[in-house]
Amino acid sequence: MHFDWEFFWKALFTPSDPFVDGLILTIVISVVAMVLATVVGLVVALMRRSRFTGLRWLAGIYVWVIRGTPLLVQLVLIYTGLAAVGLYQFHDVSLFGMSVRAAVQAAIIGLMINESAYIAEIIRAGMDSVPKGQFEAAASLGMKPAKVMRWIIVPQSLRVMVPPLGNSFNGMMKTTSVLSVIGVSEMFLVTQSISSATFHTFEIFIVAAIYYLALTTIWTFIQAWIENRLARQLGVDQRVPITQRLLGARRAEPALQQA
Amino acid sequence: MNAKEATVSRTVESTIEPVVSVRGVSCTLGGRKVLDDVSLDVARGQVVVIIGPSGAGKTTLLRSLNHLEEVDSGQILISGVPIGHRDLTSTKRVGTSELARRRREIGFVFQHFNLFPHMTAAENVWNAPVRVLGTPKDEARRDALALLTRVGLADKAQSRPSRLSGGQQQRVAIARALAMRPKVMLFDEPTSALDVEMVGEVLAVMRELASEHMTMVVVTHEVRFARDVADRIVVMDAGRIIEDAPPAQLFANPRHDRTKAFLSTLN
Repeated sequence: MHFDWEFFWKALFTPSDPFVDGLILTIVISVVAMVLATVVGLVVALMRRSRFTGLRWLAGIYVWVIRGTPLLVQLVLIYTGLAAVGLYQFHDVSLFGMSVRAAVQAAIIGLMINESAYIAEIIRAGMDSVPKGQFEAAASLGMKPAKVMRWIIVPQSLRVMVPPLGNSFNGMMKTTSVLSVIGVSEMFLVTQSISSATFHTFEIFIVAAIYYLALTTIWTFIQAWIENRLARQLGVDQRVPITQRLLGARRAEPALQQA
Repeated sequence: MNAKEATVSRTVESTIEPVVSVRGVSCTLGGRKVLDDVSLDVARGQVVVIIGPSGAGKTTLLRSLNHLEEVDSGQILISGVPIGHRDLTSTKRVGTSELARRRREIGFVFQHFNLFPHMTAAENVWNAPVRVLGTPKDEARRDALALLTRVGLADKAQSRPSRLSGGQQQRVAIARALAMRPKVMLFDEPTSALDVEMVGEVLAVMRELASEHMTMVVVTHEVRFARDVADRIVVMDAGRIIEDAPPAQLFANPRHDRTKAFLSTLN
């Protein structure tokens, strides 16, 4: 075996600038796409609960189409496809003094659209988990629908929604590796180019794997903190040991019950 | 008629007008006619108890009073304002904001309490006045504590509903409804989900409310409560009101055979 340890340690502890830039881009794209996807997902979820049949249909079709097609296909359609038929061409833009590459814009939009369909379903399930009596009690106190959501339904459904949302984000960080296809210089593409320049394919991809693992592990801790905080706010005792989170173990989600 | 005259006539009207007025209401749920041409007036300060076999439409009638159930035909007026329609002559549905506004005057107590589990007892009570009426928080908190004291739960103000017994939860729910200073209180089988030993404490609170001349409509199986507290007992059967009389008269001399049959099942 020819494993170049020197190259490995160097790449791991003193990563090159392009690698660090790739890492940062991976994080930034994940966070921005996740935030936007949550907003769009919320809108779609609310549309699915709308009293207007047309809106319900529209949202249903959106979820069906987006979840039923691969992200890779969606990305190529958005970035290359739209330009090819002359519908829309992404250009580099300057935003808050930073230059945002065309491919990065397409990547964020693609990830946002893809993820929003899943998040819409998470949010819908979260809202459905709140008993009908809660809506009725709030309505009988004269709350308008927006306030019912804000003060009664959202706080209760968050506890059900946050774990799968967190898992979504975890998946999103790994999914960014797909963006290399449209030429976004995130961590995967950078790793690939280092690999082809140095022929240290195994070493550099092990390094990349370690960095992905570090990202998702750190996020697992953050997610645990958020969930525990939320549980405390809602006055429920629920602690999931961190080992169980990382190493995986089935956990029963006790339904949020009144009484 | 000028504006001033209009105000005056409305004031006069409201003193003689029933708080709750149900006019020829019918309602179909799941293909079954649950309410069949029901009419009922409740005057200010009156306590009306609705009894009848299960499936008679008692709960549907009560829920329709604050539009938790939508009726097919007929009219429901609360203080002269139709709950589900834009105005007296309109057949158009009321908007969600306006419906919310009209519901503030109607307190509703549910069979299963429906307290907000993520809030303390006190927060359950002050939440709606603050969020809906814009009452300043400290004022609403003070009121909430006073209400909880009134239902005998001052010491539980900081407890979550999950730490309270069923009877305590229902008393908090009554306080929560009262916090909106409603014109009428509706009770949907408020003691049916309770263990026997807790029924008394909830009924005691309701008795006190009645003695303070709160207008109340109560669906219940508690015959003694009905006999002691009600001004009128309404007997429902198969979606219709078959008898409507003061308790003394109803128990001594029920006119309808179905009433007799139903009363005999209770003893």
